[in-house]
Amino acid sequence: MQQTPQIDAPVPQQAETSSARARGIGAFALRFYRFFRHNLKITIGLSMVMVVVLFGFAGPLFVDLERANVGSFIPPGKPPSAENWLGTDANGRDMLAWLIDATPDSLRVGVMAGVLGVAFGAFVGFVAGYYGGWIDSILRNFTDIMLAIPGLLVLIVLASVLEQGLTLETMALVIAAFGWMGAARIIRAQVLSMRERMYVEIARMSGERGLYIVFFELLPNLMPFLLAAFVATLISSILNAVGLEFLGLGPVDISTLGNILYWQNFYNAVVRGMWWWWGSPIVIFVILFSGLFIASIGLDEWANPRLRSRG
Amino acid sequence: MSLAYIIRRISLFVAMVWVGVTLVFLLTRLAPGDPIEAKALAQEAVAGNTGGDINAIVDAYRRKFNLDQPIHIQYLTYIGNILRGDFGYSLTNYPARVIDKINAAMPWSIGLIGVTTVISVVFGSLVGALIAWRKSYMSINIFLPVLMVTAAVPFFLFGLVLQFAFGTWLQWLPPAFGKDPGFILGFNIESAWQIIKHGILPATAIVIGSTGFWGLGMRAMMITTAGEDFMVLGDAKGLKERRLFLGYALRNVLLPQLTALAIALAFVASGQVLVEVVFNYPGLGLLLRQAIGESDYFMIQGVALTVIIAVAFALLIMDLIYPLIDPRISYKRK
Repeated sequence: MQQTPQIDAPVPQQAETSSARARGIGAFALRFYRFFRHNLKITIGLSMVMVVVLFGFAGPLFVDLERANVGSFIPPGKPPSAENWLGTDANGRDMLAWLIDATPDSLRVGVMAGVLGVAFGAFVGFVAGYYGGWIDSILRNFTDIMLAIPGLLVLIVLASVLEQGLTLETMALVIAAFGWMGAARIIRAQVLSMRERMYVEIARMSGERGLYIVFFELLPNLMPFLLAAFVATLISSILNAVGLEFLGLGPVDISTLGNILYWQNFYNAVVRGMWWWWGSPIVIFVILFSGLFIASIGLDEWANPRLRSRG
Repeated sequence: MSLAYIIRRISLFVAMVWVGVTLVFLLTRLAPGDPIEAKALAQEAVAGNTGGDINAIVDAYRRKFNLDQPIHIQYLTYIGNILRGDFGYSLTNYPARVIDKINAAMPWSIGLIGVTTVISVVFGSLVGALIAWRKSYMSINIFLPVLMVTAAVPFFLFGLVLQFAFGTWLQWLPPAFGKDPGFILGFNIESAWQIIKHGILPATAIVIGSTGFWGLGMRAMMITTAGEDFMVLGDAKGLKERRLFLGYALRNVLLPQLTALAIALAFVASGQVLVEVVFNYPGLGLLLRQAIGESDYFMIQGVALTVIIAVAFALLIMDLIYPLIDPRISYKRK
């Protein structure tokens, strides 16, 4: 079989430089540093995400979460002050403590759904791309169909029939059921181009088994794409989770950021002019979503350097 | 356009609707708990036991809604009903039919999504293309981070900010509803003004949110196209910048951009539902929110099915128009 030169096949760019041959922690740190300096978008995006992660996970060290209990502050509904930096809600909950309490769970849902979604999507994409033929055409059509179904609406239907509402884990599971298509498409396209590549051919000719080829020849080359797909899935998962929670369909006994937005809507905070109630979760969302999004663009460009533009 | 193409697209549409309908059916039937019993118990808890036998009531309702049949019969009845456009009755406002309420809400939602999609596709594509264009003014690059932020943040968060800024605080525009309370719509100037006035804020929220998506998609495609051979040739021939941009780059990229709409539509529809909730806009979103508040399961399913079918239908129409405007794919077979 004649091997056509695959100019357009993206080659994952390793941060290999001449100095990488040097050993030791110093060389590793240098490689690390070079990678992040070279991929500015990933650096900026991840830093923004880290701000939110730190806020949620280190926050309890500085702020007493008991302040987030209903009725902690009387009279309720006060704007930001020296005592309550971000004000209090209509039930006397301290906004800052409430936000710190809510952030980790919002992230947790996203990460759980992201991992599940990418794992399943990668599996589907892998099978479709590697085996091809009728398996591919069934899986590909199914992926396209699922992509065209507004997942949030189906999630709403499901959440509404569960009497005691969703738990964090079931919510992540059902969200992942509608979050695997992107990963499947990316991985399928890559596997399709990779399985004809020379090194796979050579591995096959030298008698390696299919599983060996999958794990040791294909998977390492897919890592950048998997990472990019993971972040993209993370974003859509958190979006869906926030949508459900905003409609009051998320877990009822856990504070999440979407949950805070549901309550501010319930108490008409916008019309009552309580801007601190919805304003502060929005700030967190803007940092989180923008950070993830910029990181995902950066990861895309890292996986597929052709997308890189000037500047 | 070949007949095979049309048949393939139509079967894809049928498959889409079928998968959506089946998902909704399975999820609602297989989920633990019985919505009707829960509803009856909840109503009894509110109103107090009025002497009736709760089990008899539940059984009567089950018969009424065909829930006493085996599951495959239920499924066939369900599909048959949906094919006839019958989504059943509202559980909370019993004699009211789900389809009537949806029909009343549909024009609002379709109007909103239509206008905002056109504006954001045109505006977003243009900005994205200019950012990617090598020789446009560098100052347009400021829009890149703006697009990234707006593409990432959910629509309804912009809605909240706009609602507060222009509705509550500055009071330039009505912060909620589709028309002033008590106003009766007719075919006249005042009605049009009412609809526009109330539509501006929700529409702006959706446009801001989706412009980023279009802009970034356009930018990525423009960067790829700029490296194509025909661009280099055009440049070497000394074509005017304008001609290269509009006739060579933009023209080639604009059509694939439409296929991106296929992926975006489901996403935009979901986002719009939440925006309508924020603004109490009388479309499907508000209907859905009320139904969730009242645990009106049939209404929730009706709205979900309507959106699923509408999105699939829009995709079908787009697929059928697409070969007419892009000669490159007209006779492309699989």
